[in-house]
Amino acid sequence: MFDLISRFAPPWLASALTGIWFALLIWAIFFASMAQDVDFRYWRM
Amino acid sequence: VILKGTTDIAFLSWMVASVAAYWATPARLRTETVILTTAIFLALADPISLGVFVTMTAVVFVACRSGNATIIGATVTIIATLFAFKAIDPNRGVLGDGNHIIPLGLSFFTLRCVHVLIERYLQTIQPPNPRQLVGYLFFLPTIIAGPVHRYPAFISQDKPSLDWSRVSNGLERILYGYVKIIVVSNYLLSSQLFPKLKPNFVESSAGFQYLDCLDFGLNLYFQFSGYSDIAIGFALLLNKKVMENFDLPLLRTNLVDFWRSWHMSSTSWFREYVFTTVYAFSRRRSLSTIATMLAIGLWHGLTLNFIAWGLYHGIGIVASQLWGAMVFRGQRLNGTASFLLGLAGWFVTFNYVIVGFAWTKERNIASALRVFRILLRGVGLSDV
Repeated sequence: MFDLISRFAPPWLASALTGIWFALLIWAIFFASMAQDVDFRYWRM
Repeated sequence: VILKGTTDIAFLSWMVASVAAYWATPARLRTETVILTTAIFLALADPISLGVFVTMTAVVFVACRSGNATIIGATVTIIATLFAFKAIDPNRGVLGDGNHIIPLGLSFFTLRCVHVLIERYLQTIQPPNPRQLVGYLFFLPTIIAGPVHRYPAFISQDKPSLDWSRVSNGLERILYGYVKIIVVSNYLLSSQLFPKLKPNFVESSAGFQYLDCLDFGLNLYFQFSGYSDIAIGFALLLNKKVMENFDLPLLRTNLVDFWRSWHMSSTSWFREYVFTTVYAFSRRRSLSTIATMLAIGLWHGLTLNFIAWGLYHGIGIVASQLWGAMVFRGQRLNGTASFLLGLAGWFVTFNYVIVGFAWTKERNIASALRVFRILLRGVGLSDV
C-alpha cells in the first residue's frame, strides 16, 4: 500500500496514510471477530 | 480439536512461533526448523495426516532414485491413496460413513508429490536429496490448503539473509487475508448481507436459490483467496515466495480466463499434467479440456456432484472457446463494442460460475438438479 500511495504523495504522507489504512483494517478484524464466530469452512480437502 | 480453522488463535500462534523459530535458528538449519515445526503441527492437528505424509514422502524419495517403472507405480499408488481417503470421507466420497475425515491437507500434498514424480520421470529435475524433498513437502504455510507451489522454484530460492521487503509484504498479505475471511466473508456476507436478503424469498423460489448460490460462491472465493493470502504472506515471512492462487477470477469476461485466475496453482498443475498428456495422445482440444475439468472435479471429491461440476465447467469452457472463435474470428473490435461484449461476457461467466456451485453445495445430484429446475423456471424456462 505504501508503494501505491507514495506514487502520489511524499514519503511522510504515504507512511501516515498507510499506517491509518492498516489501523483501520486491524480494527475491522477485531470488530468483526467480536461480532460472530470466526470460522474458515473450506480448508479440509 | 486443536485447529478449528486458519483464522483461529491456534493457527495464528503457530505462525508466530514458526517464524520466530525460523529466524532464531542458524541459517544452515532453517530448513530443518520448518520441517520440524510442520511435523509437530501435523502431529497435534491430525496425526493420521502426519503418518500418511511421511509414508508418501518416503515413496517419492525412493521412486525418484529408481527407474521409470517405479516412478509410475509410485504415482499410481499415491493417487489411489488420495482417492481411497476421499471415498470414505462423508463430504467428499461415495462411501462416506461419517466416521472418517480425509487427512488434513492430503489433496494438496498429493499434487505436490505427483508433481515431483512426473518432473523426475521427465528428467527435468535431479533426484532430490532428502533435505530438499522433505523441506519442499513439509512447508507449513502451504501444507493445509495450498498454494500448490512447485519444487524447482522452491529449492532455488535459498536466501539466508533477512529481506525486509519480503517481511513487510508478507505481513500486509496476511492482514488482507484476515480481512477477506473475517470481515468480508464471515461478517459482511455471512452475518449481515445474506441473512437479511434470503428471508425475503421462499426456499422454493428462484430468488432464494440464486442468493444461496451467490452466498456459497462469494464466501468460497473470499475464504479461499483470504486463506491463500495468509499462506503466501506466511511463506514470505519464512523467506520463500510461493505461487499466487487467485487473480480477480470473478471479474473475468469468459470461462477460460476465469479458470486461469481461479485457484491458479492447482489449475495450472492440471493443465500441465492432465491437459498436456490427454492432448498429446488424442490431439483433440475439446476432449482434453473436458478430461482436465473432470479430473479437477474428481480431485475435489469422489461424488457424482463433483463429477457433474467438472463436466459442467468442461462443457462451459469448450462452448466459450467455440463462441469466441465464432464471434471474433481473429478480428479486433472497436472500443464500445468491445466494452459491451466484455460486460455481457462478464455477466454470463459470473452467473455460470455462481450457479454452477449448486453442484457442489448440494448434498446429492437430485437436490442440485432441483436447484437448476427452480432457477430455470425463474427465468421463464418452466417446462425444462
